[in-house]
Amino acid sequence: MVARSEITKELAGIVSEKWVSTDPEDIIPFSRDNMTWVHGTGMADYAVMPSNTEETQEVVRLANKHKIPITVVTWGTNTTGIAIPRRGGILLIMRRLDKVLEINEDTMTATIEPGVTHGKLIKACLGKSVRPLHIIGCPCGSALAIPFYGVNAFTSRYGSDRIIAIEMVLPNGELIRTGSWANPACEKMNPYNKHGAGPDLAALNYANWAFGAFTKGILRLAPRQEVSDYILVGFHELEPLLRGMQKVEKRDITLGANFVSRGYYARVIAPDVEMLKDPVKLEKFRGSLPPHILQFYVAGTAEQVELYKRLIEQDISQYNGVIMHLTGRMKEKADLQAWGTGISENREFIVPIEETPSWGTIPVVLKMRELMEELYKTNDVRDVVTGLPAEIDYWGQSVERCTQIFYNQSMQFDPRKPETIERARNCYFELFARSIPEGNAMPAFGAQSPEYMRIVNEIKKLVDPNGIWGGILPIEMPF
Amino acid sequence: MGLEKYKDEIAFCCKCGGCRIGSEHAIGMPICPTGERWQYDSYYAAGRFENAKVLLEGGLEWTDRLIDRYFTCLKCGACEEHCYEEVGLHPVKVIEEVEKELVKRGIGPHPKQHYKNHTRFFERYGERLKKAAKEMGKSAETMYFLGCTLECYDKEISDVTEKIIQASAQSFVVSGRDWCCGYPLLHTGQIEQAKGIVEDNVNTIEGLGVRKVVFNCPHCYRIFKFEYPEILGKKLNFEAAHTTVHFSKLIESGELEPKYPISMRVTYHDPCLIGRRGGKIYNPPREILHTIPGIKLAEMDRRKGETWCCGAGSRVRVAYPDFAKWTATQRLKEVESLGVNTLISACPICKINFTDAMKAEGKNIKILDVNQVLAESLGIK
Repeated sequence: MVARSEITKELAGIVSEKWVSTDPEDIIPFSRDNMTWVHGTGMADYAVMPSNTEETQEVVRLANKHKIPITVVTWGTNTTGIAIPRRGGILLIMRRLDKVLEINEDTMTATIEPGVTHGKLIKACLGKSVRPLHIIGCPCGSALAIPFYGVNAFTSRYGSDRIIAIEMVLPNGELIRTGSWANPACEKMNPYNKHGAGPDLAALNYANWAFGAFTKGILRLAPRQEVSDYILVGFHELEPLLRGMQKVEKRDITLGANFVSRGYYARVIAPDVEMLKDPVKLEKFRGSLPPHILQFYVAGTAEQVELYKRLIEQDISQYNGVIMHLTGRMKEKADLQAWGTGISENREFIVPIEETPSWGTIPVVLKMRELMEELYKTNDVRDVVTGLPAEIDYWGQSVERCTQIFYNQSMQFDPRKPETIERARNCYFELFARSIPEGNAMPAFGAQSPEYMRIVNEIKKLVDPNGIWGGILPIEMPF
Repeated sequence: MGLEKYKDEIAFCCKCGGCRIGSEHAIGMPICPTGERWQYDSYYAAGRFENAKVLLEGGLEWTDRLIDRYFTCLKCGACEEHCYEEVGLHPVKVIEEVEKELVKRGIGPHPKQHYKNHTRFFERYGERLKKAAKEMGKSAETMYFLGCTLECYDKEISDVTEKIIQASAQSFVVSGRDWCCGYPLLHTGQIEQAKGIVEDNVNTIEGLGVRKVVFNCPHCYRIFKFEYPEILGKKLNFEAAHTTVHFSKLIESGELEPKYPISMRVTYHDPCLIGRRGGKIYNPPREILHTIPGIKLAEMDRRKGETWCCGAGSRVRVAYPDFAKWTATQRLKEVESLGVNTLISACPICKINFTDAMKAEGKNIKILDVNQVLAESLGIK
């Protein structure tokens, strides 16, 4: 085994001394994310920041030679433990690769490096005829990494398939490009074909960095519209909300639709952050909102937007939805577009939550909610702020014209109370164990048939013969 | 230890990254100079939170490796602007508590920030103050507090400011020389060493019967206005005001009338300590500029709450001069991108740091204080 000091020296030879650290002060912050309470920590031995593709390749080759595990991270805004270096080794931090290489208004694409945040991409598109495809997205996270796992990605009108092609360093140090980018002769002619002449290898990366480190990527953009606006609808029950959303979505007139519980919504749009820490005020504010809130985002010419709004109102009235009218700062904060350009959505974290992302159809969502109700009851889940029996908080999105729904229920816990952390962890596993047989597709990795898993594992072995690459899921599901 | 007080807050940091980049005017732009310079999370608020947590848990030792990770912090408050508003946390306070503890343990601050290296200002100078008060010779309702930066480095600003106050025909007195507010100690964790200065300052001013103290220097202003009452546990018997607020009110009431045109396209840099960390004084300096005939104000994307710090605060300019210069240079590049060649601020320390960076980089940008421009428009030489 090569001494740690030797490895450090070799790494410094690649990226220079400044960009490699073995100091615990530099490594500890990457050892946790906001779900560490539930998923645990992991300390890397080296934090390394390459500045370009070549340095990334060299670091990976070095790791491969010495069989040192690698975990890749860009901005560390993960909420699922996926970029925690559980096996130690090298933490490959990709944030120094942060250039917007091209915004192409003709092909409506952005060619970017992984360190480009969603916010930086928004800025790069300002004043142009295009904008990032996804309406909602954490402005602080990597615009390239988010699309693979980040579920804030979905828009209705332009689909959810944002990644066109990527350039990535494989665990053996080789560099590949996907789609038509894989063919050097194609590059000048048309680098923007997702499949090229073969399968889309970018899609193998179910989660961030699953099979290598991205060094560049081409993202699909959407046209910037003349007018954009949103419409809010309140519901008393979840099922009519979902049915109403589906009816509107099938008209193909929205940019996107999402839905939230009132607790979640209260935290996001509250005019005063102090209010959210006050049990009485919070309860009063929450109580003033309808239990379920649906939001449509519309854009087009002024006439189109007016027409879309009328059609939406007409459709949702059949499901007893009531149009909500907010004013002042709350109206501004409730703008779906603002969620994607600001950080308001982070207010949900004032109450720590265990996220339980799920995929499915309307019956699956309803089943998930029913299971969560049962888990809340049996575990006596309490609101962290008010101490009262907690309401189920959730948010969800229509995907591909509401043929699928992304649904994320939030299990509250108090990071200062270990028993609540343990409870959240148990609920998390139980919810998934019971929802997968009901059709929940999201956490199913590892629960697929042996034939499927054999192929995935063979691919992994092919690109990562020494098994140095970080895991695909943060924790093993006990199925 | 004081850090214990923030244990709960630290537990609630969700690593959203809001401490790193702008989300409004400055969407997608870096807002934290130390993080942007060093790139490791340990130089961003989120990482400083995480290390503070592990320090409290006993999983990380208190060593001198922490000096660079904490004493590089400019306390500009860009992180807190987002973090408090969106998540309800106070990263600057947590950083300050770690610094205090490092000082207490004899590890910090950075040697160049140390109390002992600044005896000229930081001696417990009861005698010095008595002399300063005597120099004033008289008392009045309003005092113009010079502070040590202006006195030592930029007398031009203090001279024109004094003349502007004179022009408004207000009864006032100018503080004595070499009168330090204690900021360099207070913002480098040396609270115990600063307490004597704070007490002396407040006792002396209250003893003079002054009702209002106006400051050019945002550092003095913030310390007097927000930190003195907290340190002393009492409300002060006088009002603290920044000159931009004082003068914009005098302009509004007609007591000052900027009438001489100055044909200039300028941009304004919000000093952190009268902006997001000093009561959000964003509009008064802009109002002053707008009343000056001929001045055209172009705004930078990173402005107001999302301003990029000049890089000089918290004695970082002294301890980490390269970093301070780099930070100022980033700002000057932003100025150049607007196509303007005049940068106006309302802080003498910003002015000094920008001027030094400008010279070092060979740039051609005029750096001015808002009071210098106002004086010119008032016909004051």
